[in-house]
Amino acid sequence: MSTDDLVLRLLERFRDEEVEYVLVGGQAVRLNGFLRATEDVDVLLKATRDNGERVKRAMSFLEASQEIDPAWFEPQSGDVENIRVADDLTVDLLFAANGETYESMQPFVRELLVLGVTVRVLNIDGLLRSKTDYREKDVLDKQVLRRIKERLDH
Amino acid sequence: MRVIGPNKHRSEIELDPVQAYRRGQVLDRMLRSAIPAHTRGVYRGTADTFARMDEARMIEAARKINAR
Repeated sequence: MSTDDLVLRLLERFRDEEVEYVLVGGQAVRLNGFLRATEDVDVLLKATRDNGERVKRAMSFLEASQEIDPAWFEPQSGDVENIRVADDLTVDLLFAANGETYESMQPFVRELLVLGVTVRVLNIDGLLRSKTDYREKDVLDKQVLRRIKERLDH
Repeated sequence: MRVIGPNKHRSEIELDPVQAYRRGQVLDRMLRSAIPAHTRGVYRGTADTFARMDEARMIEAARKINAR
C-alpha cells in the first residue's frame, strides 16, 4: 500500500525498512484519545548506526533526509542530541524523551492499524512517562491523558 | 452549559484511533495555516533547543495574528 498522507507514508516506510521506532509526541497523544493539533511527527528510536541507515532509507521520499548521517544514531552520553528533518513533513528523530529511551519504553508500546498502516505507538502509561512536568504543553497532555485513562479503567 | 448547533465533533476526547487520526489531520492543517513553516533542512540539538525553537515560532505567529 502507498499513501499520499505523509505521516502514514513515513510510518509505512518505517515498517517496510524495519526501523526500530515508536511513535511519541502529539501524534501518539492523539491516537490515545486526546484530539489536539500538532505540527510534526516525533519518533523515539533505537540508537544504533544500523537503525540510522534504515531511517535514512525509509525517509528518502523527503529530500532533506539525504543530509542525515547514520553516525548521528550511535549511542550518546551526556546531553542527548536529537535530529529534526524539516521538509514537506517535519520529523523529530528522538533518542530520549524525558529521560526515557526506546528500550525503556518497550513495555508501553502498542500496535494500531490506522487506515491500513500498522503503527507502533506509546500507550497512555508510556506517554505519561515521556512528558515533562514543566513544559505547558506536556502538563496539559498529562492532565487529559490521565482523564482518559481513568475513564478507560472504570 | 448548552451547546448550540450540531455537536457531533466537539469533544477533545476521541477514543477511536482512526477517527482521532482523521480529525487530527484537519486540526493540523488549520495549525499549519497559522504558523510559519520550518526552514527546510536537517538540524541536531537537544530537546530543550528544539523546544525553544518551537516556542519562538509560536510567539512569532501569535504576534502576526495579533497585529492584524
